[in-house]
This record gives sequence, structure tokens and C-alpha cells, in this order.
Amino acid sequence: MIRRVLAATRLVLLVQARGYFPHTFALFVGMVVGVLLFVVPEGIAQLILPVFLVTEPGMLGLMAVAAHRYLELGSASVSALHVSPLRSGEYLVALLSASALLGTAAGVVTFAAVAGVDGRLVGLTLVLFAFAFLSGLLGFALSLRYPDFPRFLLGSIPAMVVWQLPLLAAFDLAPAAVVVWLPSAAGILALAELCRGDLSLPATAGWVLAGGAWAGAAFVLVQRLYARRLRSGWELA
Amino acid sequence: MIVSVRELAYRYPGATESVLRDLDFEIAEGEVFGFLGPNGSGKSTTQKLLTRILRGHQGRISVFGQDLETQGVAYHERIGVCFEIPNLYEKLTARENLDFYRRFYAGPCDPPEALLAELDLPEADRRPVGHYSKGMKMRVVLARSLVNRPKLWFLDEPTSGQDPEHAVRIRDLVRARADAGSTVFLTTHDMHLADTLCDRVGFLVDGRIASVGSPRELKLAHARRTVRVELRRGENLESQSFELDEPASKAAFLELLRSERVETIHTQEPSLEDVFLEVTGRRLLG
Ligand SMILES: Nc1ncnc2c1ncn2[C@@H]1O[C@H](COP(=O)(O)OP(=O)(O)OP(=O)(O)O)[C@@H](O)[C@H]1O
Ligand SMILES: [Mg+2]
Repeated sequence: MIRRVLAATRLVLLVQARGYFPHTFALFVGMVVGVLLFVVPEGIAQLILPVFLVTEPGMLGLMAVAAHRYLELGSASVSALHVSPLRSGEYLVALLSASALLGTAAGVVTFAAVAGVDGRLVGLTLVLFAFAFLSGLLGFALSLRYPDFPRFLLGSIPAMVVWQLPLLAAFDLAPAAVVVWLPSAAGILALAELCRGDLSLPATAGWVLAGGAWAGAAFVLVQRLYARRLRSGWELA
Repeated sequence: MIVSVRELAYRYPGATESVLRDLDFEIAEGEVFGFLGPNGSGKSTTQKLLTRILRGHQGRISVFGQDLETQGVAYHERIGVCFEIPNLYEKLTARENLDFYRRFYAGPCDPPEALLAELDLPEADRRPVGHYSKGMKMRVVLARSLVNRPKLWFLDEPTSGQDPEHAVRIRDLVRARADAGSTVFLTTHDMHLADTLCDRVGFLVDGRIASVGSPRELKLAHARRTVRVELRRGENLESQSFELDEPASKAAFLELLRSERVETIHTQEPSLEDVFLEVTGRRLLG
């Protein structure tokens, strides 16, 4: 199982790199943003860093997952995967891991460039990965609703806005109680606290657990939806 | 029996009519079974049910002596599937397409280079397959379906888009694999291919097998036996055809032999195409 997931993850990364998915250049994007934040005044950097940490693995990841799915649908290559030993759940894990890996790497590079290298990077890596994975799941779930990428982009705008609402609480523009029930809240609030530098180890663990629990539950749900979609034969060649 | 299908019925979700109803057939080990029928008769649908792309059929499908529903990863380890469309990663090379696919299998696999060479594709080609011609892409799909040395090999129109040379090459390849012990489920519209390659063929009409048997049996059973006679009448060379299974026509033929000067006699070989037209056409007329 692990072997198949790893093989599929590598395949996804290669296909996206050859297809010039913006997300595959996340590392590069992260470095550029890191340099930018380095030269702008500290106040602005403090402001932008959490926003970048949320949008890069979150929003870009969500779109990369969906874009990959539409690409596979267009070429019907996904049908070939589903007559191989690769299970649909393994494919899902691979797709989400690939985008989460890139988003996490970009986030870590940016963070290190702005805030320096310290112990927070461990917590940051975990939070970023869980948040990126969860955001990718949202992208996948939304893509099941729309037949093509343009319609997906349009149709997902409300979901994407709601998804980022916890940022308001992170900047004290809204009370945390209003947004904390959103699946994205744990990740976003944890990232904001990490940026402020006041996230303790127990608090980090708490956020990672909360984010992980959401990701796990969402994974089970999305995997079911996807398996049901596959069984209907509607999208396989 | 490697494949045994009993009373198989299937309706696409949301569709009003069933594509397959009461479908029965069996395939023995090492056999090349041709699955023939008109466009839209449900050949690809049947292949998708057998390869587990589609789920939710009625009736019983048993493969490798076990109910298909109860089989998991191990089933996909043992089958190979060639699709009717070139569903490849267009930005990857042919080698990469095979190489990545191969990693999903736990069992022994064949090296991509050997398979590509076998299908007359340049192994060291750096071009992405998106730049290939349709026939070349389809041969990559075919090569990909062989990476895991499948015991049961599904081929959906493997020669469509192939020039005559490559069509023959593919036919020989399928024959060789079957002789080496693989069982082949072959869908095709090429009646000549089916005739020369298949051990048995089944005609799918209205969601059922309308006729099944070896190409030879079917040709003898379905096609009309005719003779074509050329005869000399004065200066003119005339030709006439007689149906040997119709008493009046047969009598006329015998009379002609007795009374006229016959130059040549040819028996008209019934072809699988004739069988196809008869088996499927009769149904269309109701
Ligand atoms: N995903 C689908 N949803 C609904 N109906 C479908 C779907 N795919 C195929 N059909 C219908 O099922 C029937 C059988 O299609 P199928 O592709 O199995 O035919 P086929 O015998 O392979 O035809 P061809 O010779 O053209 O390849 C057709 O009427 C087709 O319109
Ligand atoms: Mg077909």
C-alpha cells in the first residue's frame, strides 16, 4: 500500500511539473515571497506572512488538486490507474500528499526567510501539512461538483472565501468564537499564532490534533463520495 | 473456466434502459475470445464490468474461479487492460508512462524497453506521447497493458487506427501471448482479425449473446453456401450464382451443369462479416 502511494505521489508530482502547474513551483514561489518579505518593513511582513502561509498551501493547493483531477479526467488517464492495483483511496492520498508536500515546503521556506530558523519550524511543518491536506480535500470535494476547471473556479469562490474567514480572527477583526467551528480554523489560527511567535508546544499539539481530526474525517467522507462516483462509471473511460 | 458470466444485467445510473440483459458466456484458459457486436451494443460496458471500472451489475461474474465482487487488489495484479482510447499522460514519454504504471504492481513486471520494442515504438524516444500519432499512442496503451504480464488480458479494439503492418504485428503478439498461456478478451470490429485470431467469438446483440462458437462453426452455420459459375454462351461469358441450401436454386445449378458449357466454378467462402450482418441484422429487423 505504502509503495503504491509513493509511486502515485511521484507520478502526480512529475505530471504536474511537466504540465507547468504553478503549484509545482511552490518552493520557488516561497523563496521569492520570502525575499520580498525580507526587504519590506517588518510591520508589513508580519501582516503578510500569515496570509501567505494560508494561501500558499491552502488556496493554491486546493486549486492544484482540482486542476490535476480535471487534467486526468480530460485524458482519461485516471481510468488506467483504476484498473491497476492502486486503490481509489490510495490515489486520493497520493494526490493530496503531493500538493501538501509542495505547499508545506513553500511555507517553511518563506517562514524561515522571514522569521529565521528556530524550533517553531517543527510545529509549522506539521500544521502546514495538515492544513494543506485538508484544503486539498476541499478542492477535491468541490471538483466532484463541477464538470470543468473554469466552472470549478467560479463555483468555488464562496467556499474559498468562507474557508479563509478564520484569518479575520487571526487579525483580531472578528471574534474567534464566530469562526472556530470552520474546519480551516485550527490550521489558520495556529499559523497566525506561530507567526506571532507565541505558540506553546501543548497549543501546537492541540491545533495539530484538531486539524488532523478534521482532515481524517473529511478524508473518509471525500473518499466515500469519490468511490461512489467511480462506481457509477460516469467519469471513467 | 477463467471467466464465467451468468445472467449479467447492467443499467447505467440514470439511464432508462439496460445495456446488458441476461448475458451469458464463458472463456477457457488460454483462449482468445472475440467479443463482437454493433456500435453501442455494450461491448465496452461489459469490459468495464469485468475490469471493475463499473460496479453494480446484476447476475454473476466469476473470474479465476472466484466471484468478482469478492476480489480485491489481487485481481488487478493479474489482469491487463487496453482501453479503446489513448488514455496516457500526454506530457510524459512512452517509457515514463510504462515505468510509473509498473510501480503499482507487486508481482514481476516486464521492462518497458522490451515492450515498447515489441510494439515497434522507439524505446529511447524523448518526446512526450502527446506528440505521437494516434496509432502510436494506442500501441503505447497496448504496451502498458502488458507490463504486469497479465494472466487475463482485456483488449478493446486494439487494432483501431493501426496501419496493416502494425495490425498484423498486434495480431501476432496477441496470438503469442495466448499460446504462452494468457487468456484474452478481445473486442473488435475487424472481422478479419477476429476470424484469424480468435478461438471463439460471441456476438452481442440487444444485451445478450446472440451467437457463440468458433469462427469456422459460425461461418458454416450462418452464412449461405453459394457457388458462382462462369459459363460460355456463344461469344459471351456469363456468370450466375446459386444458393446450395435452396432446393430450387440447387436444382437450377445441377441443370446448368448438365446442359451448359461451364468454364469455372467457385464456392463462395462465407466470411465472419456475413455472419455478423446476419446475426445482428436479423435482430434489427425484429
Ligand atoms: N457512462 C455512460 N452513461 C450512460 N450510458 C452509457 C455510458 N457509456 C455508454 N453508455 C451507453 O451504453 C451503450 C453501450 O455502450 P458501449 O460503449 O458499451 O458500446 P460498444 O459496444 O463498446 O460500442 P462501440 O462499438 O461503438 O465501441 C450505448 O448505448 C451507450 O450510449
Ligand atoms: Mg466500445
